[in-house]
Amino acid sequence: MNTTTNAATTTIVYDDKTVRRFMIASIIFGLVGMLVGVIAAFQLNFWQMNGKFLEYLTFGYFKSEGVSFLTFGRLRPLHTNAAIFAFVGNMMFAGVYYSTQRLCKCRTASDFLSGLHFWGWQLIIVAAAITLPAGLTRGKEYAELIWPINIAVALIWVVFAINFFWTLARRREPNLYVAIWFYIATIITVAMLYIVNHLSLPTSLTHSYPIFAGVQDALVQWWYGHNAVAFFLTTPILGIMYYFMPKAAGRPVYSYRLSIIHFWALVFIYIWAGPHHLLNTALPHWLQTLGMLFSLMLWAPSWGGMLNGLLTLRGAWDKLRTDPVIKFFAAGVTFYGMATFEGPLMSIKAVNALSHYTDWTIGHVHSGTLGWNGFMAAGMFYWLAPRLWKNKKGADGNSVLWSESWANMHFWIGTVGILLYVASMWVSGIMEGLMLSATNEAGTTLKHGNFVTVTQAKHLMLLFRGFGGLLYLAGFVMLAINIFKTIRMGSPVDASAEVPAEAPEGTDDARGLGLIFRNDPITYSFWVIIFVILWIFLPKGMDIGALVIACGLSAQAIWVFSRNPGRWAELYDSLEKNWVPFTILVFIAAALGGAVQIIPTIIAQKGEYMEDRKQTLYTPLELAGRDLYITEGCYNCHSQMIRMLEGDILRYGKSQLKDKDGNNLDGGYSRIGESIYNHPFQWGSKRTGPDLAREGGLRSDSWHYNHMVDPRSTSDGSIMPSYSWMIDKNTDFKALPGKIAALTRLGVPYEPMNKHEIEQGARSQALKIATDLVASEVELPKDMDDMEDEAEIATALAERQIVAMIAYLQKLGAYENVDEKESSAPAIINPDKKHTVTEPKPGTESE
Amino acid sequence: MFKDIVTDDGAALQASVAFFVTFSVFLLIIIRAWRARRDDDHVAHLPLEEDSETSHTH
Repeated sequence: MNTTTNAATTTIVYDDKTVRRFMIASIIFGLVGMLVGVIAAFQLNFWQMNGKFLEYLTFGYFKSEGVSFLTFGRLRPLHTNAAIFAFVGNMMFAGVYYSTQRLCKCRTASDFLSGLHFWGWQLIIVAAAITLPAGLTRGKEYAELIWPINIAVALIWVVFAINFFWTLARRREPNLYVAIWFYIATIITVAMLYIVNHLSLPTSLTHSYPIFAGVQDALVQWWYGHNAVAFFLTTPILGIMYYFMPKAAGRPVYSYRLSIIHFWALVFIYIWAGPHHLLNTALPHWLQTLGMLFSLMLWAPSWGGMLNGLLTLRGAWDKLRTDPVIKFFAAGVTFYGMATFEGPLMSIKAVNALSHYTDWTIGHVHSGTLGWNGFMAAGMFYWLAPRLWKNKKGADGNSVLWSESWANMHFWIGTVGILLYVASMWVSGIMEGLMLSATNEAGTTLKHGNFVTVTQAKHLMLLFRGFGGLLYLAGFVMLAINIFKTIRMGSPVDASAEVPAEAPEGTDDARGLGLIFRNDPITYSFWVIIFVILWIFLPKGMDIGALVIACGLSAQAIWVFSRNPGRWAELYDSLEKNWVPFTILVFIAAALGGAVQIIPTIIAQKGEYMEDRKQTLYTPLELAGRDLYITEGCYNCHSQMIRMLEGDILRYGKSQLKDKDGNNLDGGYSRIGESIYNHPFQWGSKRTGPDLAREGGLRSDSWHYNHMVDPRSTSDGSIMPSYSWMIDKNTDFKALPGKIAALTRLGVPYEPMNKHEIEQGARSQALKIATDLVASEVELPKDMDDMEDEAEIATALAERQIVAMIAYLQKLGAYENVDEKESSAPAIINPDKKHTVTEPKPGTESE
Repeated sequence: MFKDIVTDDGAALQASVAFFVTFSVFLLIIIRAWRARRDDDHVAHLPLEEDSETSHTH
């Protein structure tokens, strides 16, 4: 490829200060995030780690069964947010700022925006570290931060985007290197995902309800959640791989052409795979099928990228023995390959029936984050440190790391840590899945009916997991010391470079924008897609015609390509030199999957269209309890979704509730309508404790009271934290009218109620529950010791959070049967419901 | 066709066929790219360009 060069050059100084800042922030927050992760891991072994340990540490001075801000339900979101957004986020920004300047041959466009980006992001992290343990959460995984912080994240992301694209516009290198493509995909797609999944209606400064509910919310959440992995934890790191691996190996990327396929296939396919987080649930089958198939397709581009990364080391494998940077990169890419093999495997419905809701998923996620993200970060930091803080301590006066042997030791400790972690989670997860679904031969009873039996069986494996995490943290502490020492023995430098004074000819030329509309590959792709859609939707006969045209166009495209393959390559070269059309195409590729899945779901899956069952609305008190359930992060351990699986139905399917006519509800697996008004949905992703979808009516109020205060008193061997503070803290009745009003605006069909009716209704229901609790002689809060009169005690107890929580738990699983309309008027057909479309042929018998 | 996909028992077969067709085409492209000669052009070498020796110490 020839590039026009300009004889006139100029010297520029890179902004490496921003890179240094992000790198240091990443290391600091990485340590914090990993430490919180290790604490959370051991909480699943020792319930005392949820706050009781403070009693031991202070020799009994501080007395508590549990501390609200230290419980697993609040620390786990802190751990995941710190690991994703603080550790990997800052690491990604360091890599992007360093490589983009060099690949564009220009300094970052604005130092002010770089500074704003850095400090704004750190402020967001600090805000998250305060609000999450305080229980301020939206109740959606990796999207827990409250709405004012969401707005701050969106604004700072826009700052980052402006600075990045402005830099692209000022570049002196016409070609956009593959790393830049991945950064573009990251910026565009994360913005899209984040904004859509965080659309909320505030009820106060710290609380809001997501605008989507039930199945809609589930789909949007996992479209976001899965693609947070794809476009926050994967694509930017792939960009970093494509830049730093050749750098460290001293060789160009193995196949630039393969990287083109890798990029476009990954960006297009990844976005469709979100529904694999909801397999066997109430999610419509067509979405589950799409999610599974696209997940399987991901094998190809993921492995294409992994091989491209590893084969870049071809001819430089000897460095693997001596260079810790190469070691980390090679292992990181290998873990990427392992995780992206395991992910599609777990997306197969039959495998997912075993793996979902178990520790297997946790192990899978950590092989990606610890192995891929963590090791790529370590490799990059070790490579960057002696270049950002220069010293002359090397044998020939070059700048070196403080200790290569420490880096090597970090590598081995970290590797053993990951293997210990992942292997124990495999064993634990598969065992858990098998035990929970095991039945007698007739399939009529469960082999392990008591959930705690399974919890106890996992104890040793969870202990190994904790030690694996501890080892990994120890390795990262070694990295922090090594980098700190390297900084101390050198001084910060901003590198400079001789670059063309002007952007060479062909950079972002005027015909660039037209490229996306006027070229053969795009034109053929567009029309083939149109005719495939027509094939799907046209009536019989016409659909065949559309299919024939689609096939004909495909054949013609192949013929046109084979006649002059070079022309298509030239087109791509032109696209590669024009960032605006390139970015537009990336957006289209990334947006398509989400649009196809989400838009029909938003239109069709609403409460008024439910055909089978419809959720009974929460009373104001039950709603208050639900908000407390979310505050305490109960969804981190309890699902509310009984899958269409024998084990699930046997264990959780029986309902103890009655309908409005006093008839017993059928129960069984969860139907789509049973959570259709839940803002947010609470289907969960992990069952550290049992599913609660039909918890209502299963146990008495006093059982729940005692269980929340001291879980071991009702469930011997339970690892659940004590929520003893809930008997001391009051429910916020005053906030309820605002919350009901917000939900009504979002489409929840509440009967009109004024402020007084809402508050009074909640208090009356609370008083009834509290009176029963007092009559059951539960252990009352200490501040009620002086009260004699039972009515006075009940009135005081009714104010407490525990009562609202009990009201909510007793409502779980309540629904109304929707009468089949016998009208002949046209009605919307649920495409997911299997209808018998043909009469049996004469002479044949149905099975 | 839409009705066939979402209501018929053939849905699983159609989905599997779609998957294998896409996967096969993709695999062919991957193999083609892999077997192509090692790229040795200007763009692939961009990461290998070094910073200048001069640097500004703070």
